[in-house]
Amino acid sequence: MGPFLRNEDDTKKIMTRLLISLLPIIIFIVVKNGYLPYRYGVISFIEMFNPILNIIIGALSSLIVESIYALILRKKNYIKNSYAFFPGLFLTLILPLHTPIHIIVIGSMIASISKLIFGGFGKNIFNPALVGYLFIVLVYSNVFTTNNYFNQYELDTISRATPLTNASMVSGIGSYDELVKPYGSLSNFLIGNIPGSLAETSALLCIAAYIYLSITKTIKWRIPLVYVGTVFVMTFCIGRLLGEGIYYPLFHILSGGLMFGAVFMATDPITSCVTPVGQILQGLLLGVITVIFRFTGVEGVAFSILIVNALVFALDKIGMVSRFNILKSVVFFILIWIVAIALTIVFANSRKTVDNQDPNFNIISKNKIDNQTIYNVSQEGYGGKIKAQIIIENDLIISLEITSHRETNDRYQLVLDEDYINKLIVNQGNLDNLDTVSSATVTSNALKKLVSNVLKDYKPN
Amino acid sequence: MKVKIAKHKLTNDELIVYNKPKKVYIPLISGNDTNITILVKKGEYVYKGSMIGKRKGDFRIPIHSSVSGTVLDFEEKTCYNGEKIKCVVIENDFKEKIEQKINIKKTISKYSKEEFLELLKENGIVGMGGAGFPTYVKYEAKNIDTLIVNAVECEPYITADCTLAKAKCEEILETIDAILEINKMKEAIIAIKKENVELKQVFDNFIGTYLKIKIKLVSNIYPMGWEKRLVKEITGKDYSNYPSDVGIIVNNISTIYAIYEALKYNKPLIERIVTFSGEGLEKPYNVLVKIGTPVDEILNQLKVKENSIIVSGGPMMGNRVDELVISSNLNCVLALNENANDVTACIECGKCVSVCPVKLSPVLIMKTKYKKERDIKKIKAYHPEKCIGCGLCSYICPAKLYVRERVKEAKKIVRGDK
Repeated sequence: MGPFLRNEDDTKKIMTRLLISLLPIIIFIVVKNGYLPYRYGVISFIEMFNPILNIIIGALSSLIVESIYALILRKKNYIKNSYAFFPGLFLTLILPLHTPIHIIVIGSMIASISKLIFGGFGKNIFNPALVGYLFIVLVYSNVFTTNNYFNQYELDTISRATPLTNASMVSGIGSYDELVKPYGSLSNFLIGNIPGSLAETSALLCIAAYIYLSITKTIKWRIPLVYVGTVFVMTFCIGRLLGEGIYYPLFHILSGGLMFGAVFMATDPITSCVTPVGQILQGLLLGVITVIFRFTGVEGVAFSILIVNALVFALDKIGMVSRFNILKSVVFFILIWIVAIALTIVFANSRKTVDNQDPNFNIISKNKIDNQTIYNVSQEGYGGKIKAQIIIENDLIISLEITSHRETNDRYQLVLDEDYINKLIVNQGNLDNLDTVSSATVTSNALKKLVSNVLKDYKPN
Repeated sequence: MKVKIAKHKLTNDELIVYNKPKKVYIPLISGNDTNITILVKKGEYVYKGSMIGKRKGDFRIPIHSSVSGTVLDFEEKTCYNGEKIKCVVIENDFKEKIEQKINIKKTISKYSKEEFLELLKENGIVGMGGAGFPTYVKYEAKNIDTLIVNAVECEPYITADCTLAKAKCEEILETIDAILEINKMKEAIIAIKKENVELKQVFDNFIGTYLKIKIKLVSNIYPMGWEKRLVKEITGKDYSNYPSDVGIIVNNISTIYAIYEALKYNKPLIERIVTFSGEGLEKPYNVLVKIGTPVDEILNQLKVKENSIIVSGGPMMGNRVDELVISSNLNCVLALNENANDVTACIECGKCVSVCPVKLSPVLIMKTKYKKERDIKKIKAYHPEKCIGCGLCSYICPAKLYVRERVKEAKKIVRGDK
């Protein structure tokens, strides 16, 4: 039995490096969701420890399940070499901050059980943490509501959903003002100063971990690179086709669970390809499927990875054969590229909005007298058309008068109480930053859109 | 992924001689072929250099006695590949009697190509790096123009070729030059590892007058000594079967010196230099030994520690053995401390795939079960027969699995040995 020289690197060191790379991310989580809200005085001292508590509970739940398994089967050394805490740890990291403890425990246990069903460490086909995640999505879908994602401080300062949920609500593919501005700028996405699952927000730390893990040969470096690259190229093309700038693909690769999923979940050694060509194909497929999920309305990094997990064996077979003859993999590459190109075009066309015109907006009349322009317009509100007359003088709205509406009276009263119509005139140059009236969101939003549509018509661009 | 394996500190260029074995066990194997015609009988007296066997089939390479004495018996002994091989047991009478030889020319470059081939064949010259391929067959190929002299010795511990080259540098250069002239070849390239500065200096001192011989430094990665990689590194050429397909012959230093002795003295291949090293020895040595010498005699002389395990070959490609006799293609014997690595579950990190020099996917071969007949077809798709046994897959494995052994098993099955 040989050879008689062995490399110094071993599984234990690999797993240790993985933990080291997670450490900055965990510290970031604690600072962002624990320490900072505490300093701003929005949570109590005890609540500050909630995020770290979640992580520990998740990891422990998994460890306990596997310990019981080892005890029952009397596998003495199993737990020493099975790194049993990882499924629960990773699961907690991709869950919202306010996930109830009992759901974390159940999810982590399901995650570990999914690993044990296949025979334990080294034998599972599906990423355990993601199986736990899928379980929670299916059984406890209400965990993933906006409020659960936000820490107390974010709740007070950002009045929107998480970036991707927000992106799924805009018309077309959205604009910089709609997608990025509500959260500050793209640098906030990079640093992680945006709402989202625990570990998923800081793209920068994920990239740092990727570099560290690749240099130390801990993870399969090709998978994250091709995965994120594919999402970037596809969203870049979609954005380009619809006239959006470079911010658009950046928004996509920096938001949601993509970075964290690509670096930590897609590269899980046991459930990913071993051959180089297999790894590249895996990354391509992951990218394409994630884009499909995102453009059909949901965030799908987790599901993409699970779907591709099932294909790993086949991809490796292609990878194995193409090591002897690279030509044998070409047809698969071409196939995936064709699908990617086709999807890009389909998604771009389906999101096309004709000249960005709001279909709910209608100009009834438009008269120019001297330096005044008088608009008679209508905008769809909560109960029907809101009609209004707007007078623009010297490029400024000087009067806004609601001529008729069908909104419920109490809601409309709220709008009047807030003096919202005057606020619209005062803030006409800065409408995006004007908050809507709470409890009368639709009505106030319709009024806001009405004003902005008139301005758009008056001064295109 | 390219792998560098640190050069081992346990080296020593000191050359000692061990030529007094009481008995020799000449293995009846040539290359991997044990199909040998036996030419001696029990009780027969043989001279040193007498032919005692001859390979059947295409390559009629003879096997010679390394001592003079009486044939005692035929016995099975473990050989370099860890397998039991039938050996001719000869009792040494220490007289070193030699059969009268004729046809020796004083200048070794004066032979015709036919004489050259005949001398190589009759003296049983084979590749001494491991495969044991008959050397004359290499030179029979047409349109050969380049000779690559493999002085790489990429496995740690092994310094047999290096020691020989330092001791016999002039003879080796003279032989290379003669080979070029006899075979009308264009040039010879001596391949030396970058880190082996000493050896390069030795050659640099003598190479001045040989205009057709060049020295090329190759990178320190393992397995650089593997023919295919060496040819690629030096000439950039790929070939499918033999280097002669692209006009190249590769010989290592020991083989070149064996050719020298064949041309100069008509001396058959009956002794070689073997590296003895490892933590189990007080001091490492390179030993000039007779083919057929039992290794434990030498190890005892070198004061091997008790409980050491004996490895036939280098640390990467070698096999653990209980006993061993010296054969012409054995370049190293190691006495190592037994240290059992904890074998853990495969995490499918894919490292064995990325290091494999013949582009196998060892982890996938390991995962494939092949108990039934139809599974053999499945495993064939993975081409385990391409394995060169370099051991990198096991070396790199973070779970410390015996990957190489599993690939070897598959290789045997595909080849139909089992």
